[in-house]
Amino acid sequence: MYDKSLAMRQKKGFKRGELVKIVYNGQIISAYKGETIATALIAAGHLVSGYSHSQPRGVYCNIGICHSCAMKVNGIGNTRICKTLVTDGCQIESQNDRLREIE
Amino acid sequence: MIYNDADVIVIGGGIAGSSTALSLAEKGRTVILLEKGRVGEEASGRCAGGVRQQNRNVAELPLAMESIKIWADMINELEYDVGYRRSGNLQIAMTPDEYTSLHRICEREKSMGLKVEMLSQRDVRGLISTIAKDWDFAGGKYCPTDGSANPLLVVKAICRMARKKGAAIREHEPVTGMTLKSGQLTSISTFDNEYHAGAFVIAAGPWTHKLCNQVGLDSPLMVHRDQILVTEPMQHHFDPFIIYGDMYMRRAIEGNVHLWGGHHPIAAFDKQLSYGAFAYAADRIATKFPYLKKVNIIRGFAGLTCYSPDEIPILDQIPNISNLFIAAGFSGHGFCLGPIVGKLMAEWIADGRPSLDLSAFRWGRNYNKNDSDNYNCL
Repeated sequence: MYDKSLAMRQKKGFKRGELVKIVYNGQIISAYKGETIATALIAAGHLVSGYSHSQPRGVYCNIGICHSCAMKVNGIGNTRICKTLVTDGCQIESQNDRLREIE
Repeated sequence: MIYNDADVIVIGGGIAGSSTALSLAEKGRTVILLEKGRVGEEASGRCAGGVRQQNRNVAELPLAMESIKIWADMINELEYDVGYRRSGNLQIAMTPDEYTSLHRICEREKSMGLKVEMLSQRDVRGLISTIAKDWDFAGGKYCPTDGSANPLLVVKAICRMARKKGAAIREHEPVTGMTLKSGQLTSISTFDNEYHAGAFVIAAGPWTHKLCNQVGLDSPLMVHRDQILVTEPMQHHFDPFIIYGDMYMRRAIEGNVHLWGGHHPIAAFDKQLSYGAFAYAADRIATKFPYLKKVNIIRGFAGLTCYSPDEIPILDQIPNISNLFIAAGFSGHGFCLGPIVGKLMAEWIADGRPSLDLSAFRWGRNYNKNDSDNYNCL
């Protein structure tokens, strides 16, 4: 079956982990184990990770310094998706501000 | 051409020094402020930013109460919002003994005209819902007119206004020498310049001791280091500046929570963060405020504070050197006092005497701490 979210990846010459499903704002996306959430989202064509000060943000430095890509992952806000690996069924949500919720 | 002569030279660009320069400029005096680095980037810019009246030494309380009046109008005076908000100050009494002594202080402060109240544990939990459920503390003491301001902005804004009023603010000008002539300080030199003035003010915090040595004075001042941790921005969950034991926390306007990150006396002027102290502080705070366990700490910083043995400042004209004034040794709670100290020092220099009694802050006083009721916390 053709999966649009996997189309961007090189087919040959790479050894990939097993296929997992992640949930981005309620939408199911396929990814391989060992990839970061940032990789999976960009490959699926989602470049905007969230908004702060009403401006769209996305993956910028991709090495965990700039905090531009922060999203809510499995309920934990301000998580850098460029440093977080995908897990099967993980829930990823966009944030519209950077204010951490009080538990 | 650079004018190196002025009526008054202020050494030290912290909140006390810059306020002194501003007040003198407002009085029409020519004033030069010398700062070894950049203004407001030592203790005045590295503090928790609490503007507090309660739980002060009896001698300091009238100053703090006058200072609050200046803070209230600062946004108009400086034509800049330095983030001053009256969000209250809460001292948590951890044990019944502490509650009793806070109660005694509360009564005394009420008689001096300060609006303060004692709170039960339930009242405190009403103000701050995030305290650990299993922490059985005695209660608290709350002052609604206290608050906090943004330390990164205050001194910069004061200096901006001082410049506007005619003061010269010279940054990167460390004082290297001072010349005494028949009991008067006549000139001071920096690497490039020599400055002459009628009166001098040393408001150099931890560096005051070294400057005093240059004119043969031995000050009792010591240097301590305080660290602060800053969390990621968080949703609104409490207003007041919280103090308990030796720890404190404040929620900045942007949402970041500033936490106590360790405090100790030091010998060297070291502003490197101690991560050991950091982790220890974070652990201790998380036992009382468990919701912080999952929150990210995004940065931290250390600052140097200048302590006097009895933990109240020295505000005095040096007895042997009549044109030298000192405003230092604020012992970690000078941020609130800064504006009033500037005003009083300016009055002292320009008009001959300050409008408030400063006899408790003499240079040559007995520095022994003898009154245990003079509650003094950060």
